[in-house]
Amino acid sequence: MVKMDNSGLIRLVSTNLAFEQLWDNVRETQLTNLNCWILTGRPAHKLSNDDDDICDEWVLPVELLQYRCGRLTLEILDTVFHSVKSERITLAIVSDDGTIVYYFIYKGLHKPKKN
Amino acid sequence: MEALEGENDSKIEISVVGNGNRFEDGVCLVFDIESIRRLRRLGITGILTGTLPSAAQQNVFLTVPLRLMAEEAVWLVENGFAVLVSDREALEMGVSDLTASDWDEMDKQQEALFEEQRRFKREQHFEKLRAVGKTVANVDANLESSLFVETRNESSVIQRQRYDFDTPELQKRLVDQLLHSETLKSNYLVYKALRAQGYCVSPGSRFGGRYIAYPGDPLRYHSHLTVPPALRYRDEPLDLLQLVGGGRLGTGVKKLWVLGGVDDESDEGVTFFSVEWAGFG
Repeated sequence: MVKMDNSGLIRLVSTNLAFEQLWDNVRETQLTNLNCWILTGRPAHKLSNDDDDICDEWVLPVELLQYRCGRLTLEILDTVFHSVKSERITLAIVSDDGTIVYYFIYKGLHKPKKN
Repeated sequence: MEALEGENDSKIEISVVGNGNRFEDGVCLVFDIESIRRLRRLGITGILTGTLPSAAQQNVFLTVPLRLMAEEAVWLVENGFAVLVSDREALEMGVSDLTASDWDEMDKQQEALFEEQRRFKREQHFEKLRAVGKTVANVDANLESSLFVETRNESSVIQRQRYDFDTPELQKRLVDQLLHSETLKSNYLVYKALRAQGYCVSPGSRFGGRYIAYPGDPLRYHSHLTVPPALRYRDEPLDLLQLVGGGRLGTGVKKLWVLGGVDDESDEGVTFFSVEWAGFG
């Protein structure tokens, strides 16, 4: 099984979620089968117009490297989806300058969100 | 998407035209308007590329030929809607059973054709001279007007009708030439999976991907997906910089950035993931 160690990013991302994005209840969980960490939390407001209500989100921190490829493969994503059993996970992409950007990932073909 | 009843069900001819010496980069073209109409009904739009020879720079109202992506051509062949026709194959087949005497015969026929034209032109010339009252002097073999003769447009070697392109072996060979690398084959699997889900697929360089997918005819719907080239499911890491670029641009134009993964070790087909900017950060 492929591994993806993202333990170095956990603190940065959970701090960002809690104090910049103002999420509640940000917690970290280890996915033992991948040796990687994933965060859960509750956003301050609804993230997508397609959602009925605010719900708990799963956030997977990954590192954006400029000159090397990362470790995140589709197989790893699949495994994460399998472990968390959620319709979407949010990728927290951490750049080496400290910037964090968040992207939704849905399994399969999804419809673009309503604006 | 289904072909209409009572419609001509003969196979559509797709010409595979070599790109210089590199046949593997062959371009797939459809020249027949009726075929193009049928393709549209099948959800294949292609790109019209024909322009006016005298105004090649005008590109607003383009016409036949319709250029297809290799994926579109292969999909049509696999589903029995079309047949690939290649002049190079036809030429190879054409010359394969030719003998020296056949060549001589063709040369003679051509020379006879030229001679006939020259004779006709000479006679016309003499008639003109007679009409103005001049007498016909010695026959000048190199009469200026007879220097130029028409050559035939069609080749005597390639006589396409004589060869049946619609054989499984030949079609497979042409398909293999169009999808000559693993990357292209994987991309084709992604294309096929999108078609199977009912999407209309066009080339995607406008939005930074390999394909853009529409939920129906592109004239009726906005596209929903931008699809970058296929990834290897197990061992190809995501290019996150590209994901951010594609995802951010896609979200700005109401499209999802769709990753398609192909796994050689399983028959489960293509695994898709849809990416979208989360709206914060």
